[in-house]
Amino acid sequence: MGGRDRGQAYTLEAFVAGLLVLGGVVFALQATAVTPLSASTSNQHVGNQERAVAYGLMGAAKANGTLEEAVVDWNKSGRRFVGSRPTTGEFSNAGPPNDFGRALNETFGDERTAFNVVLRFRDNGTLASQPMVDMGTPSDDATVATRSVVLYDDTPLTTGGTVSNDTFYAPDAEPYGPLFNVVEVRITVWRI
Amino acid sequence: MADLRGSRDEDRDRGQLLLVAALAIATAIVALVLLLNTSIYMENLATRDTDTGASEAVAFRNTVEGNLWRVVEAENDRTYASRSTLETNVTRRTNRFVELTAARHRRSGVVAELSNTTLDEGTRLVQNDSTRQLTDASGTPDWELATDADGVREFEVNVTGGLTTSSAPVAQSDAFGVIVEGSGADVWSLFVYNNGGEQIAVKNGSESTPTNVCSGGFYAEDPRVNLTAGTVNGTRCSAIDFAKGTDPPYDVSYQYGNRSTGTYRLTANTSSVGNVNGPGPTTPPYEMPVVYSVSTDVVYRSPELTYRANVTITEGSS
Repeated sequence: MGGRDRGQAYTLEAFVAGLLVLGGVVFALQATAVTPLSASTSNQHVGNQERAVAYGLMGAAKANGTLEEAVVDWNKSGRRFVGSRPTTGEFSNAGPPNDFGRALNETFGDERTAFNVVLRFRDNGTLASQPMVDMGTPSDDATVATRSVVLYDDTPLTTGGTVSNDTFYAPDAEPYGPLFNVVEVRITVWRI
Repeated sequence: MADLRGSRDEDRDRGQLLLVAALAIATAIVALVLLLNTSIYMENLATRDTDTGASEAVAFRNTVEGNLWRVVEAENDRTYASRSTLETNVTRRTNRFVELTAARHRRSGVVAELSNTTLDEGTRLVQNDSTRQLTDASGTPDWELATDADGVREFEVNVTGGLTTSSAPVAQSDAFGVIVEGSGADVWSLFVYNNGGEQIAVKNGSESTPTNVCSGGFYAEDPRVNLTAGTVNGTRCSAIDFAKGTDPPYDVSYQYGNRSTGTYRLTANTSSVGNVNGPGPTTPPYEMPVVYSVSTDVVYRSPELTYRANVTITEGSS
């Protein structure tokens, strides 16, 4: 009599045990689910490193003057960066054709790492921006590095003349003094 | 059937065994998952960016240190007649500079500012009439230009003629000279005289007699002596080392200003100057108020970091 009921009990116990095991496995998989591109713990090292590299690159470029040179590498008549495509006025495949751009290419270009460079400055009380390199939309794990470049009214453009002219992308934020504007160079770096 | 019947007693214990075993395995797996999760979380913590943003604070300070003086000096060069107007405008320009520089830090929720800013008073003395003698406004030949100056810079004298002839170095004391008296009555002096040709002699604080310096090749034209940079007509003359052997504060005077004509210009870290015209650009010699240096606290306050550094910004810091 008793043996006839135990079959159901065994089945139920087996199901419960199976569910527990399955639940544990699912939980474990949820806890470790990472893909190479997801912004998660596993590639945090990569993000930290890219950020440090970007800051190092900008620090060196600022110290040797190539960062400022890249900021004023402006084609007055074309109202775009020197060497950029006339249609967009920015670069999309690589850095600009100057020392700063070459440093960007050598640092990130060969490492399957994409970067955007945006210049931000004050325009009539609001924050305006001028893209220099636009490689696309950054992924979730992109990191950002910024540095400031101070421009004066008499800072020369690489193409002749000074920044104080109507065709330069940034306006004179301080008309009463020698200061022209403070340009924030912002590099966004991400792995592709 | 005999098998089934025979196993009936053993089967009675198997249900509990299975249940206990399943529970034990499930608990073990859950524990494993927790352990794994903890280790992942620890790695996350360990590799999380521990940078408190100190490099940003230093970058802000460097930007201020490297660029603020240019903004201030532009106001100094605007030849104000009133010190309060000058200081108001210097403060305005400084505030605007900081506003523009700190903007990117403020956007990330950081306070970046200058506080406790004090402007150190200075005076610029100018004589720009090359035919005028180097006397004070009323023609007195021996006079004190600046009193108790903690520093002197951009001191350039261009002697244009009328030099007293002197035959020997000992007589230099009768020629036009710049006398700098430091604390403790040590005296550094520089004489420009004519000894069959223009000559410069220097007496350092520790010496008792002046020595001729920088002869040969320097005086193709009237000597333009930059006392603080140590140059004559733009050529380096290392023997001219301003106020060597004396300590600030300095009293700067001219002797026998009536024995030469010329132009000069100096910036002294004092507001106490001699008998000159002005303030403001007028009949030479005149004085103009300037800001000699700016002392300020560079403050950078983020949720992770509070940074404060006192910096003095003056000529040469940009």
